Amino acid sequence: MSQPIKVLLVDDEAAITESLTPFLERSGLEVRTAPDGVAGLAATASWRPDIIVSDVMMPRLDGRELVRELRQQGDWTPLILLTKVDATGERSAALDEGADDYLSKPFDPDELVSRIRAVLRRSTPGTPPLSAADRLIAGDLIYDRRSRRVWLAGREVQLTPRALLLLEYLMGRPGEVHSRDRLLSTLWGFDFPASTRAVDHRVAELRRVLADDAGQPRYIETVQSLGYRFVAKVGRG
Amino acid sequence: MNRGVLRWILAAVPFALSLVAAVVLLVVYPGVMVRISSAPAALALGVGFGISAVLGIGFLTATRVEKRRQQLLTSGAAQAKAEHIAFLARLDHEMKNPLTAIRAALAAHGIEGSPHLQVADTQATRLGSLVGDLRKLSDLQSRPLESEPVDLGQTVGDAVQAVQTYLDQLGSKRHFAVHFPTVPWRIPPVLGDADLLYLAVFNLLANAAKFTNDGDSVEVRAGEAEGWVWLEVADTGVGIPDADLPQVWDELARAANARGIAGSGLGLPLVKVVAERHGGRVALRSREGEGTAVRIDLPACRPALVRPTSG
Repeated sequence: MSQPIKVLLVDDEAAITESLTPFLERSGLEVRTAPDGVAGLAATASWRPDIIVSDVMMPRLDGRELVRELRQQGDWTPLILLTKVDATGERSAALDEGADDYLSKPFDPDELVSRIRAVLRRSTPGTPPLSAADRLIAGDLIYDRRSRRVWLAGREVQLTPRALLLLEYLMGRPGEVHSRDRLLSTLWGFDFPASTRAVDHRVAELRRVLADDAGQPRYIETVQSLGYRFVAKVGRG
Repeated sequence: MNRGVLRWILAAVPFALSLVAAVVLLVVYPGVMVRISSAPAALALGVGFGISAVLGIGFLTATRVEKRRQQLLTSGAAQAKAEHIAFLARLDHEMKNPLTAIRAALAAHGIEGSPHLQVADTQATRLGSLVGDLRKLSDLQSRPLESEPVDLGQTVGDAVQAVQTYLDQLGSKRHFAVHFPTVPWRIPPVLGDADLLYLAVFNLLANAAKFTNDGDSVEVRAGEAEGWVWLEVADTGVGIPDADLPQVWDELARAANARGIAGSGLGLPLVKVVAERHGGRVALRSREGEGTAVRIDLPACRPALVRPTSG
């Protein structure tokens, strides 16, 4: 039997660590906890967890400072931030600063476990994830994260801000199926029922601009009744 | 010294000067009389001018006082709104840790086979989404909006299709009629966030479907007037009791005759927020037992403002 996944849970609220720890252990994970970012840094260095799950608002060193500190030290231990779903600015900042994913409280505990497994599936220990690369390349398509510009076959193309965000998210996580609901809450910051059409519209825009055929997709594939997947192989520039 | 007092002192200066002059004149020239002669026309003109001047100053002052009062009322309303948003943020913040802990504790214990714990889990989930929805609504008031020309006809078409698909799944039927004038010209687009406008229109149509019965009618009509585009969704549904009409735009408000129908009481407030964020306004007419019509007015996008969607 393989080693259990080591999860470091960082949260100042004892009610959270005391209830989540037995749940995660019941799901077959090995768990240690830390009450703030400073303790989290120390535990990361000494225990070498496979993944960190951290709250945002904490005394001493908050969750976002924790990610920044780790990444500056060249530590790419995957990290899931427990941020609010609705603070659009906060969320994109979290993704920009090197968090691998985030989940908003209150969440479905099973969702946390599946998120932990998904992040670990796409990450290679010790190396920055694609989603942190400055430049992503998929065949003819180049996306520059810093300048937020896109080139197709050497020509720059124009996209609306949300289509750009969607492309960045999908290219940074190739091969994974992303549900419309998840894309909506991640990139739009709202997940009102029935608003997933917004995602379809932006995918349609991307396909139009990237001359991608939905029937024979080079880039974005519709996964029937599940969501979307970036099918092209993505490298960093 | 405050400005009001200063003004009264300034106003009293001419009178004080005339008082001093009167005393001096009485002492220096006792018994001297001055006779002023004037043409009646000049006198009439003078009197008229004097009265106009006094009235004019009076009106000016009254207008300024009223304007100031309105300003105070508006800033009071804005402050109340800001406090309301801050309260929702605090409520959300204070509830999310306990709710996360409750759900995690239940999951750690395992709820399978225990109807009681399943109730606790369901209700914790429900409470979480309620608080989350309130928070999302208040976020809508401040989140950045995309700005592109939006064709409401297309928005309505998509929303009608979505609602109809949903009704088909339930095996339920409504008569939808959509009228967007195309003559002498098409309804102009509105400048705004296509996703949020869709959300608003979808909510209106979903409400119409929800509060009508099999075979009822839902009409969507639109028009333009003086730089505005209006859109109305009307139905032959259950209507809203008079007593509940003043609260329809408030969060969590639900009409007395809506209690048996699932809903969050957040649909119309969301429509209102979206309309207002686009510089628009909302209005609702309803008669219990006859039906409801909700109207959104949005500023039309002038041709000069139509830009490519990108950039």
